[in-house]
Amino acid sequence: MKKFIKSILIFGIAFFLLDKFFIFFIITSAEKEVDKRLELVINGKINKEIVVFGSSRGARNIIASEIEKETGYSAYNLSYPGSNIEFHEFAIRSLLKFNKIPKVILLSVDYPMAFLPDSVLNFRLDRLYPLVKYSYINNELIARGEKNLLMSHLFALSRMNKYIINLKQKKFMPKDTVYSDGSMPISFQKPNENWDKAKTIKKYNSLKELKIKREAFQKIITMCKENNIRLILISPPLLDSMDSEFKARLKLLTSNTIEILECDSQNPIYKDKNYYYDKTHLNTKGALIFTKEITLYLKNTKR
Amino acid sequence: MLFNSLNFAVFLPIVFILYWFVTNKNLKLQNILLLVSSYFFYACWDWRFMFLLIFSTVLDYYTGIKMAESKNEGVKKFWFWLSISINLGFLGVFKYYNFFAESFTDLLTNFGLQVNPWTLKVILPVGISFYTFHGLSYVIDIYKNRIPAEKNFVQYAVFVSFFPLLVAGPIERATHLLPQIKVKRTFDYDKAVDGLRQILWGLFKKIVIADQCAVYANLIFNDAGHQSGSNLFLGALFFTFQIYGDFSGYSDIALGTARLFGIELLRNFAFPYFSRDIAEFWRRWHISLSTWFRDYLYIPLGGSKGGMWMKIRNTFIIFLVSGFWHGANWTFIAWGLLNALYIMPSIIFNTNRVNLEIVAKGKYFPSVKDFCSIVITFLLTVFAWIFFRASSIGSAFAYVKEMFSKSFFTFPTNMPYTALFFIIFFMVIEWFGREEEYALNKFGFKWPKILRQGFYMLLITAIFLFSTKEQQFIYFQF
Repeated sequence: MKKFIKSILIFGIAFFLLDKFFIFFIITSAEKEVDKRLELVINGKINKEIVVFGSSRGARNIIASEIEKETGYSAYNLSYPGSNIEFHEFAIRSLLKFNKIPKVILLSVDYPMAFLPDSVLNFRLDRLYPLVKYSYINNELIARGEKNLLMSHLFALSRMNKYIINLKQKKFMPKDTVYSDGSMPISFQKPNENWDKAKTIKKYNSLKELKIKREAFQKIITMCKENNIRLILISPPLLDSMDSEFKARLKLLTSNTIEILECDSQNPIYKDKNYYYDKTHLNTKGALIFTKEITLYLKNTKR
Repeated sequence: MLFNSLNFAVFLPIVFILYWFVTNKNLKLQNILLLVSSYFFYACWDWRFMFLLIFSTVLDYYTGIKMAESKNEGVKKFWFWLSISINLGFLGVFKYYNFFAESFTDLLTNFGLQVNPWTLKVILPVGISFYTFHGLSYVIDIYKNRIPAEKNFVQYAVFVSFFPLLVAGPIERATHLLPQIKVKRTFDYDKAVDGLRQILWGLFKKIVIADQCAVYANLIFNDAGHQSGSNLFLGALFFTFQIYGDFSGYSDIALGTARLFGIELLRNFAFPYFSRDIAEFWRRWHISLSTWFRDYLYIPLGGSKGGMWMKIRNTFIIFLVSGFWHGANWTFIAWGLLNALYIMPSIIFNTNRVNLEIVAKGKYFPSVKDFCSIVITFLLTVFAWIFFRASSIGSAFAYVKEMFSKSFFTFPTNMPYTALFFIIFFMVIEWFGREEEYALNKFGFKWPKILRQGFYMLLITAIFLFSTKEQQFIYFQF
């Protein structure tokens, strides 16, 4: 037994020492990232008057620099493709913690999966792990059950995950280029996209909604109210028609107290595939038109 | 409490220390400690179902004694059937009731009759299929006079609820495990180190292989309608490795943990993806369940003694029941049926016991014929797993239809190279360790010690890097 315990201890100590080499990756991983937006948020560098949040529909369909140009307010886009409403809540919370409070938050709400179980939209952990050298990020990972408090203080490896092990500088992909205003418009169309329109509109089923997502949404509303921020929910255009049930649901969830900006469904451009990257995202041409619609709304409803 | 959780990492050393340092001089105390820790382990899931586990244990223990004491065949039969009915009754209520109620409703709806079924809103008690089968095998063995009844309740209770095997097997036999519980265990350094090594390999399989594959398999299966044929094939492939890594990983951790306490459990996996035919696959996959069905269902049904038709009928029964054992869904039944169809040629042509030894024993590489057989068997297995993973029969057929469309010949979008790299790494180690009980057993034994230890550290590093939120084991739902 003594031999067994001795062997385990020696192995454990050797591993503990080896683990310390991985601190290098923790320190350098943020530099290797090409999308620096979250780090800018944590460092208090996003002091804008209008900030856009959302998933890829927010990132590609809304061009912050155009809003800035048209309204005269400084604007920035903090939308992350593939992110869900829980991530949006985290991004807004982080923005408010480290930066000046914005005047307006534009939140792009994903139809129909904003509150439903969905495997495409996630909490973008891959955006958090490279910034794990910041205690704020590490604490968020612990709070989300991804990491353990004690272990993450004992082992560098316990703070990390596979996203960090990277020695090369990352580069932008044509589809995922983040512009200086944080927006990610795409100028081309998706190859091999099936442009056939859906024959039926799937009925929105609120019974399938996840409580955790609805709670994240409510937290966003509360944060905005508490900080006197004008929150505008945006429903970006889709090539296929939407079920009106979802819009009714949004109104119900917000008790009809939050502004909802729906795209002009009568606008024929939104039914024209030439303005789309794929069936659910506009291309730059379409995004410019949609952003114009937003700026017009902002100008007309100026407070 | 999951094997891949920090709670278990704390729980295991505490029980280990108490076992070898405090209770080591007294067998009775050792067994009481194992029983208390096993009940604590189970209560961590849901303490309310503890009563079900204890009730089932008491019932089978008492039944065993009553059957052994009885001189009257009728009384013996009464106790036997009482125990069987109650055990299967619990399984039926908790696991299958809603399935039958809903299927019956669907059937009536097809005939234009609208009924509102009375369904149960209960969660499935974790491990119920496993501990029920422990109890059943014990009661059947006593009834058939294969074993004497166990008089010591604590020892019997440890046999049913020993924590490494409690929630997902291996499905133990009284003839194998009870004798080990009845004798004093002494600490064996080599066994303990071997146990730790097997736990390490199990964790690697679960966290690095299964959980990674799960991400891509879920992504593809949950959005199957929008995927190309090649993506769908990739999804099925990922699920194939997910379920193997998950379940065999669990089994390795269970076996390794038991070994730390000086107890050997039944082997559950023997490199099934290197099988050369489906019969061999089923001798290597979930061995404790396959042999359970062989001994307690196939042979009592007449086995292969009643001629070809009897053999075919019994094989179909076994596979259908095996599929249904996995869960109350038509997809599992379809999976069982598909496997029965796969194995039929070897049953009919009597070639089901051709490949008994591991492939290419004593050699580095298989022959071309063996390699081709492995690939074909593997692909058949991949295909069958689609039915196992799909949420419904309809979605399974839709998946298969789209997979074999023209887009099968396109390059998959978003190839997850890291996951593929680890799958290849994993399979290479499995290949070189295939003659052992588990792949890491003797792997690197010819290397200098420091290199071998370094390799273990590399595995631990990968486990750390790939670990995220604790992920459930797939077989906990069965």
